[in-house]
Amino acid sequence: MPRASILSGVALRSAMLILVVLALVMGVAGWAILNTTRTAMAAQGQSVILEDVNLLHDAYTTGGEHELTRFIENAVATRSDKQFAFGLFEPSGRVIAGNITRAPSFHGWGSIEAPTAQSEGDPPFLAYTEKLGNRVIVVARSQHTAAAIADAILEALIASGIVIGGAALVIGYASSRRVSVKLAIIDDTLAEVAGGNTEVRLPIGRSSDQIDHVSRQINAHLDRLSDFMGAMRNTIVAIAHDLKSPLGHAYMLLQQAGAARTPREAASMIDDAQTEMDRLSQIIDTVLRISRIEASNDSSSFATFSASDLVRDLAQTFEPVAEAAGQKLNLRLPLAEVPLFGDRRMIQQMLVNLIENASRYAGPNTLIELALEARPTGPALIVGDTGPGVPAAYRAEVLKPFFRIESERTAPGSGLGLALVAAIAARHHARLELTDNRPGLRATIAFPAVPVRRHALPRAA
Amino acid sequence: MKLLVAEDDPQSSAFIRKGLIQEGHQVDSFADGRDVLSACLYTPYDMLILDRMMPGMDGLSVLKSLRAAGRQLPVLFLTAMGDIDDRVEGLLAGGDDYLVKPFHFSELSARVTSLARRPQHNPKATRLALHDLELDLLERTAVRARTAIELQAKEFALLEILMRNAGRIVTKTMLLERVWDFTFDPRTTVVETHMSRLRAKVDKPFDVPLIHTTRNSGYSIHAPR
Repeated sequence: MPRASILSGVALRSAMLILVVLALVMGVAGWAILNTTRTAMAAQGQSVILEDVNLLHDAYTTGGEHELTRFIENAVATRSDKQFAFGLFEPSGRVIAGNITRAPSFHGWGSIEAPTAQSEGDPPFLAYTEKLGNRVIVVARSQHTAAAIADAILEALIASGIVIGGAALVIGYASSRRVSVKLAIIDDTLAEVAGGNTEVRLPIGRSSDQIDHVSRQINAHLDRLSDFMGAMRNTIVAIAHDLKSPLGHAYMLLQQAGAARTPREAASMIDDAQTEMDRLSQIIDTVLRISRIEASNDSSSFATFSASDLVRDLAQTFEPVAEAAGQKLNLRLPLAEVPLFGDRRMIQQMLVNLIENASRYAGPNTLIELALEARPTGPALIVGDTGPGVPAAYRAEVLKPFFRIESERTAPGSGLGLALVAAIAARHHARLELTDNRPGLRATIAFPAVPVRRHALPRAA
Repeated sequence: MKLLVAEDDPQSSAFIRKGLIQEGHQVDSFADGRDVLSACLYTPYDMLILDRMMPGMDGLSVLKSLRAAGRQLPVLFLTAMGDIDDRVEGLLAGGDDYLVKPFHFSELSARVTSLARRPQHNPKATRLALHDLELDLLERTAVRARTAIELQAKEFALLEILMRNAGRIVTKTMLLERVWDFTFDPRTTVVETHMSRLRAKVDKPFDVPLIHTTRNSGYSIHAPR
């Protein structure tokens, strides 16, 4: 598995994208949390400082400067947490009491770097200074806890970012690798198909993911392709075989004509050779026609025509032909005219093939039925006979090109008639069914209902 | 007649030329579509026998250019492209007849003769007559020697085509195309059966037969000589 294809995989790239977005979101959210925490801590610090300032005011009010000094010294001595600093200064800056070493230069709120001897290296203290009588009081509070909390929040954010990001990258890499492996298999398989092996198939995983879905589709196409190739190989063999027999006959007849004793005998053999060549030409024409009908999707030759007229016309044409073969042709038509949407010539040829098949295989003293039915699902054409019929096992087979039932091998015909019928039916999206006519064979072609198309039918005047 | 054969296969071209010359026609031939077009534009031919696949310019384009230039000479397509769609395309482009290779020379000959005489018979004529046989095309009735003959629609159509081409051979394929609109050869004896029924009505009850079969060619109708 080439690393480059994993690294360029969609899963990994999505993971990276998620990572960048996550970093941005966490950055913004972290900044907001930090800011809020800092503001809240500062507000809390200020209120604690103001409480002490109030106590200093009370002490001054009660006992003057003396009480004030005593309170500050007492506070410095008793508050052991080193979080607080107090200072009492003369306006000149000279220290009177407290542990703050220097008088700050501001009044009101401010911050002081290292106000006491012990606070060297600590973060600046939040401080409040004010004139009380003719002295300056300073109350400061260490910001150490607020800074520690902010640091802890920041560290937690960074640590969770690293863990989530790392996990995203690992998951991304793993799924990208999994997808890449599957794609590589598809790649190899399709390369093998392109090389001519249509028997290979893609493995389908148990996860049933999108790739499995696509693989299933590809396998279905490969199945069709290999069926098609198999059918094509069989057809080519059948064509070659069926073309060779009239060719062989003609070749033989021409040789005999060359050795004929009288010109009359020679002429007759040449005529027969020509008939064989005609048969050959017809087989080729029919094969070409079938392949053209199957390949084309063009319905520009389709129009709405009267199926009743067509069927009536064909009954007139084949009634004497059937009679000459000792058969009777029955016509069954609905009273109302039945329109059909399609290629009239194709449907005509389809019916002629079916009628001729019926007439040829049914034998004398049989009945041939030609019928048109207007079904709710669409028009249906039916050609039935009361001959020996086709065994159920062969009914699908006889629709394939060049297929002929073994017992009929010696009968004339190319085995293409029904294949052409099937191709024409498929071209019209019609359903072709061969069923038992009890006795005999019954071919039904059920067309879809005439599509509603503008100008398809002439408007009533 | 002065005919032009447009065919790029020398063997086929020689075969067609030889046959048509033997029948008394004057024949020119070209293998390139462009030569065919310019020859037709500058020489008054009576008919063009046109292959579809030719070097230089294909047959269909030659015909379209000729019709666009107002040349109305009859054109018979003689081609290996024999599918119904090809045929329809050829006739829509202005072709008068379509014959698919391989072909019997007698088929070509019959079609050339039929096509050449086409403008001479009056398509608006409502009656056709030959010897003692008369057809009324409006009433769809046939009378021979003052006896009415009852004909089925297909039999009437067969007789009409024979009479329109009286004295000339009409082939089985021509009848299939014109009476039945079949562009394929059915495997049963459609033409033979209907022709035999027609003869049973038109010829059998009378002394002199009018309809004749020419072996391997087709049918013709003519008055007794």
